[in-house]
Amino acid sequence: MADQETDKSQFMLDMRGVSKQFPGTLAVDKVDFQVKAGEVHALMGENGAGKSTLMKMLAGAFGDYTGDVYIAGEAIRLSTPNTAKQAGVAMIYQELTIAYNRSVQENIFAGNIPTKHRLVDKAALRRMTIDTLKLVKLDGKVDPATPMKNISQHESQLIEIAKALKDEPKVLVMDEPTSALTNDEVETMYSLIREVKAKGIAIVYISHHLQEVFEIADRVTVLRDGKRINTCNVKDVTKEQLVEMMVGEKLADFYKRTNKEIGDVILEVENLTHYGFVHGASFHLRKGEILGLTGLAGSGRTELGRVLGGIDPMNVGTYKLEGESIKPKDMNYMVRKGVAYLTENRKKEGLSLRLSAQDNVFSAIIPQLSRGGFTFPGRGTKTINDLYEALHVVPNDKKITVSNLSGGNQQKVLLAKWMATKPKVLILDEPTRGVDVGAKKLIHDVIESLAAEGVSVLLISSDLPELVQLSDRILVLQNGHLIGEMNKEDGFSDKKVLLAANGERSALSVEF
Amino acid sequence: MRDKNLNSKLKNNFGAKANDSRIYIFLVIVFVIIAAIYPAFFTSGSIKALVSTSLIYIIVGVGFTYVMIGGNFDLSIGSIINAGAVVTMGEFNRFYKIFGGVEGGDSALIKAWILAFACAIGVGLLIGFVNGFLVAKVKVHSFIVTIGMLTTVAGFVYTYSHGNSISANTYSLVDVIDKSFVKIPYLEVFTPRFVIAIILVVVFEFILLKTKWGYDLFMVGSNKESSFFAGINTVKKVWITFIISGFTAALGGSLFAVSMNAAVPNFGERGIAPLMFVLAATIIGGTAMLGGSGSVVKTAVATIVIQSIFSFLISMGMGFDAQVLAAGVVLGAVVFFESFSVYRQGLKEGERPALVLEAEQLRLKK
Repeated sequence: MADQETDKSQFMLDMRGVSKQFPGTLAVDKVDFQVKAGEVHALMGENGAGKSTLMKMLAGAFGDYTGDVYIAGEAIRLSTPNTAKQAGVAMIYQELTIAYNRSVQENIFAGNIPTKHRLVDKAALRRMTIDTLKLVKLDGKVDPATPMKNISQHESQLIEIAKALKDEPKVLVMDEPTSALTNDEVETMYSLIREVKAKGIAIVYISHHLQEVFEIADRVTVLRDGKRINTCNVKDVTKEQLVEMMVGEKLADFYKRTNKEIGDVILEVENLTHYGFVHGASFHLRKGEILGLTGLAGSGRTELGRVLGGIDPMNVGTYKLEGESIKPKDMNYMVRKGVAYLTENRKKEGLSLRLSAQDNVFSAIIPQLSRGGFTFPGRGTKTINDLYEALHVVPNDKKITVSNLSGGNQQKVLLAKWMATKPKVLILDEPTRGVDVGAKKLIHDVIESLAAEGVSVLLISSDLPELVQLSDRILVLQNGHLIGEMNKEDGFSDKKVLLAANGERSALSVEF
Repeated sequence: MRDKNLNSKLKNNFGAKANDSRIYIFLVIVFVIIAAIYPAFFTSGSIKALVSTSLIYIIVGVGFTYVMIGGNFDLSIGSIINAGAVVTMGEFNRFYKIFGGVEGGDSALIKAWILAFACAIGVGLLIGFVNGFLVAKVKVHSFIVTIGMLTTVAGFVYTYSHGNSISANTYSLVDVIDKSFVKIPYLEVFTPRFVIAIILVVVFEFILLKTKWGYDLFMVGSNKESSFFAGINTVKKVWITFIISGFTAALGGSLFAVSMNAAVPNFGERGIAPLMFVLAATIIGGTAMLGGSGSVVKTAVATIVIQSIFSFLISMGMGFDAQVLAAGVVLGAVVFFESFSVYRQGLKEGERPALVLEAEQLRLKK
């Protein structure tokens, strides 16, 4: 009993056996998570491992979690954002919650504007803001009256931290705090975190970046599939061990593929640049090849795909399709040229949820269905029947409204839409995001058979097993630059790909 | 490199400042052009006429600006103006009769007018209350709510007035409300109606700029979610903006009817609707279309600018068609400018700062 007492007081934040059930999945499964005062505790895991659910739980977003939470030794039920705040939990989200057309001081003291004789006490507001900015050493650098829209991302991030610190929190949760920062700025952020730590605040640091964890964290907890895999001291663990904890003991590449023909170069880009997003990318794609593209969140994976698909501008660079130099001026043009881009955002950019499956599929091939300015949907019947057969969309009713389909079948319809254009190059951005296992398997099979038929595929995916299983080669992006390439002959594994995405040169077959 | 950054930062700040006070720049430009082409425009008489015509829009613009700062639109003001007008006139006639008409003397007049105003304003407050309830509490989009209200209240106005115009049975107030306090040229604009409008504008601007309530309203309009997490009662704030809009629209219509000594149920149905006028003035005056910034004073100044353009066109012998065209062009230009800057902002979303620095260097090299 006495043991438990000391146990409790040792930790500023103590979550014991917490679980959170979503319809269909147990997102967090009996997780124990303890953070000491004055400790930076990294929380790691792949997408869908349960990090963000655990964090939202801390923020008080769910009233229905199970398990116990103690903050500074006191049992607390984090049922609303306000109770979490009062208990001393402060959050700094990746997506900053800023009112851009208001000033720094108004943002920091939103809802708590000081008044005197019923009027806003501007002097006090200014003074309090300067005091708050001192916490992050921005006093004298940022005028409290500047509108937030004129503040750089780096300073906005610091201001957000100042806002969190002014309430003297006990636990500070930071979600990817460096995602929008340059290298110098990251250093400033680290020294700030060390200072906060010295004040005895418990810091939960969520990050995808291994490098950062080794630099700033004291301990690390790895989650996988909603379960806690391990908690250890950062200095007792290697990068490789951490990656292994994250991806798990996967069976060696058991996927056997019939040897297929990989043909000549069909697409070749050189120095492809979209300022601010992707710089100087050069690579080629062969006929019938599946080329994987990996990189951490924010590395420019999607952005590269969008430039290739003609959606975002190519500021500099050459783009050759079947030896012909072209300018990817817009998506329509690229689709007619035989390059289709399947978006990662199915619901917003991919499908018209209120239209039928058929209308969605036909939307990409209207010119083919039209004669003399009139569209004849009947002309597409064979196309859609073939696609439905290949993709096993359930139900087989083509007139059904897309919003009534399950996620997996919506994704199949989206894939059918781009397959209907008979592309030569198919860019797939997260083709199996949010779909069930059955649909995933089927989509993988379809991608394989497309490649066997001679379609070239650029596969952008954060799902490592998928990437490893399907790709013939894998390109690696880091901070908007292609850093290298991995060849199948040198052996792929989840672990290697993840290390490569983290900039580990030894995992690459070819360095660029 | 550093100096260049600083320069561009300063330039941006200057651009932002110029955009913030664009309405004053616009005012000067318009006045200079008018003065160059048609100096007679600036006689005391035409200034007085100009201001007098603008007053209804200035008053209505106060509430409209508040609603827009809160992130919504109140499209029902056109009907509320008419409701305010017909109710004032109709209720005055009714009460005046009750209090004995001409035999009742001055006290009957005063009592009847006060009650008539109270009724008109009550109607406006009620409509605003219902609008606010549906938008803030029930969370229906403000476009839908207030367009519905526009038609509903129009129906009420026609029913109340039987489709006819209503005149007061006496000229008692029209002589007072537009009579200047001072008889000095150019200061003749100081009529009671003008003073009421100025007081409204000043008081509501004061609330926006000096009180916690105003600060919180800006915050709600700028980012509703973070305001909610900061503990601001966003429902109440938005609700109150609609009540204020109902109040100012009814008051504007009421005073307008008194100055005309008549109320028609379909004011603004031909020509430029008050809604379009006020909307144009509010946007041109710099209130953000998505909420979060704006100023009652700037809306009022924009009203004067637009009305000046109209009056100028009339003076130049151009017709009503030219006025509509001018209003359209000015509003179109401003809306385009606003949307374009939002679009430009969107292009930058997700940019990596490290790469932006690199891109600058790449561009320099070229």
